[in-house]
Amino acid sequence: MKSLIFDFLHRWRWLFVISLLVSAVSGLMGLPLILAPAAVVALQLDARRGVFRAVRPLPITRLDQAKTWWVIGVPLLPLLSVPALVLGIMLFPHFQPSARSLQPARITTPMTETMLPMEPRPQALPETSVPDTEHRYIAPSQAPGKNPRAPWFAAAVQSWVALGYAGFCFFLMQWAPQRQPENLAENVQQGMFGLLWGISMPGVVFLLPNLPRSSDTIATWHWAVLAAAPVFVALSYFSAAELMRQQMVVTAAKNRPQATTESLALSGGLTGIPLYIVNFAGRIVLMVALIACVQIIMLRWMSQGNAPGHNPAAGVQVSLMGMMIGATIAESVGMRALRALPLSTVKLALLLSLVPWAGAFSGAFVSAVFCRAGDPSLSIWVNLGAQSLALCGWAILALSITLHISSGGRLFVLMLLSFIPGIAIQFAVQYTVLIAAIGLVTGCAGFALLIRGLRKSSAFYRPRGFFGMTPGQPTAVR
Amino acid sequence: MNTAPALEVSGLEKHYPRFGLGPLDLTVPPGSIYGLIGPNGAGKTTLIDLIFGMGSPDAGTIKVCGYDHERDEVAVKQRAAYVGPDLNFIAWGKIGRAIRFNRGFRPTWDDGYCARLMQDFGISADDRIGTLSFGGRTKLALLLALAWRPPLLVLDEPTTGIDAHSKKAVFAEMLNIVRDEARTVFISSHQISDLERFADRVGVLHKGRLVAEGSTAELVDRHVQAEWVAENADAFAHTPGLTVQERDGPHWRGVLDTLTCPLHTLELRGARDVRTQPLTLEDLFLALTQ
Repeated sequence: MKSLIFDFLHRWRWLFVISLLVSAVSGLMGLPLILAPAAVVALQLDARRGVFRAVRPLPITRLDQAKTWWVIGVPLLPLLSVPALVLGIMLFPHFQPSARSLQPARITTPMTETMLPMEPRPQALPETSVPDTEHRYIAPSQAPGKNPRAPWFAAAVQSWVALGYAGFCFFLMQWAPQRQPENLAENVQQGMFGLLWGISMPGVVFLLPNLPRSSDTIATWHWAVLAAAPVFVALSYFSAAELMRQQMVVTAAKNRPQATTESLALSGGLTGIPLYIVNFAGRIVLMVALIACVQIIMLRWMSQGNAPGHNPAAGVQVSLMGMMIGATIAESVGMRALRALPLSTVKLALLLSLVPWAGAFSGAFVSAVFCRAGDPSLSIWVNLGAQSLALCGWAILALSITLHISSGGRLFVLMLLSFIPGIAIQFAVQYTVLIAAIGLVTGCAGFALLIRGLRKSSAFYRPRGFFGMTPGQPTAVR
Repeated sequence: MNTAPALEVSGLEKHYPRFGLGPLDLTVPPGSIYGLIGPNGAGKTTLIDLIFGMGSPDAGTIKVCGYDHERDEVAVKQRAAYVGPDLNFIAWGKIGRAIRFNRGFRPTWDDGYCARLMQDFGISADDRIGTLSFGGRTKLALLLALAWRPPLLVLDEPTTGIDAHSKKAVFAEMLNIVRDEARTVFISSHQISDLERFADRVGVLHKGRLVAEGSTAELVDRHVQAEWVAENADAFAHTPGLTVQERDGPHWRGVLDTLTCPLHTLELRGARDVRTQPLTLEDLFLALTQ
């Protein structure tokens, strides 16, 4: 058991280092433990690339292996995070700015501001209104006297819920699909899992920042969440054996009736480029719309039915998702197959750009029209145009650069490049036109880079890894 | 009728930090099956990638049916189909959708032929590509390349991972292609025994260079394996056409290209008890690329 745990820690050491750093920063600055389910995600990736199967022949009982995966997935990271969290809290007073210079706008944490958008931004506090206590941290939604931060209490709540959240994700993992769906029931089952899994990951970003920071701010739903945590931990423990069993099941594709000329003729309709546009660009528009809907519903729930109104961070998230999913889908189509088509390099570059553009435009649409981000002195449609230009420009640059990198590291580059315009259009609204102009220039540069890469870069045509898996271009067995 | 070579490679060079291809000159006549064999890392896939514009050469030209691969890239891809082990269609979900996408680019697409190939390969339009084995995905790539009857079919390791029945079907299709019409197949493969049976011409690529080329029968005929006895160690070093495979004291074993190094050359250099035996293409390949 210890060997398996150490092996996991060794292989994912970078993830644990980041998680512990985030925990320390969380303790220091009062940020939520947003990487709580990181170990479960890593475990899920391990499961998908067959680590469970590879380990099964080792001389350890199935039950012990199941327990090991549970320890890794559920309590390991929350427990390891505790010392870092404690360290952060203990260092807190040393990094505390003078109470007299404390302005709420300066110490706003992005997460707290993001998740409680309906509350008005507090005005600068009068100097005398800030009590000279040890922990003077004040979040915008927590005016002095209303919700003072109790760091030890907040850290305990965060750790407790993080543990429960990891348990919830681990419990969910047993329904992870082992193969592609082959009928409606499997489609529904896998769709449900995908939805829950998809929501549970960003869900932590919604949930943890809204947990109480002191005992006098506990709401009813907080009690429900706190009570659910041990239930999910227990459920996850008892589901570990079933998870192991599921991972060991060998599934094969079923035999299907052979194709006939008639069936092929009947399956006509869109072909070639129109099919590409509908299939991929249409898909990403729907995905962004779904993400936006989930976000709005959750924000309404968090705000107890109030309209979310202007919410820059929600706009950042949607635009980020639009750009990232767009680039990921574009690269997943398979560059080799596309390159062999009778299309000139420029046309192929345009075809590749369509999907990221669709994602970026959808993000801009949600951001400008629903989140009302942008320069308030300009109309919604001008803001939409400017944001579209900015996001589309950066999206094409992000695609070009990530296609030049075939390792898993490209995802971090993609995330970074997607953040830049998303943050710029939300938080530098007075420069909306300038940001659009920069986006245009970036887009032209990105397109030129894409054409150059299609012609010259061998990285474009290499199998593309994703943490050891190859969801896009499969690696050949030569 | 276009009488230009199906594929003409002249002075082609491509250099990477740890590998260099070329200078390479190669001509594939129309209406033939050309087999390119070579060990891993010899440069086979690099050459095929360059034909389809996946990277650009440092020097030299590639012409497909008389069209330059860079200047007339669309014309080249209208005439050449590509099958490779890294082709990926998973994003299309089902086989039928991948077929519909590709069909849109190929005016000569033949639905009837496509359906027959699907039956031969045992795949269905409703199959999910994600559920296919590696061999199944290769079959899909083959189907998408064959169904529009391209003048030049470029196959990179097409039989890797597929079963004996499907392999037989693939080679039968290749024979049909070159028999029915003056179409050409350029195939790189590790399955040397298959190429020996089906290929009209063979090229042996080793460390980026073409070390032997010619019709399959001619290559096999003109090379022999020889064993001889000789005491003089230096007599056989750097002899053109002689590849020494093994030496155990005075006993030598090697492969002779009888065109450039006739048998009597050995005797002139002091060899005695010379014995020869015919080679298979595989033996020749192993000798030339050891």
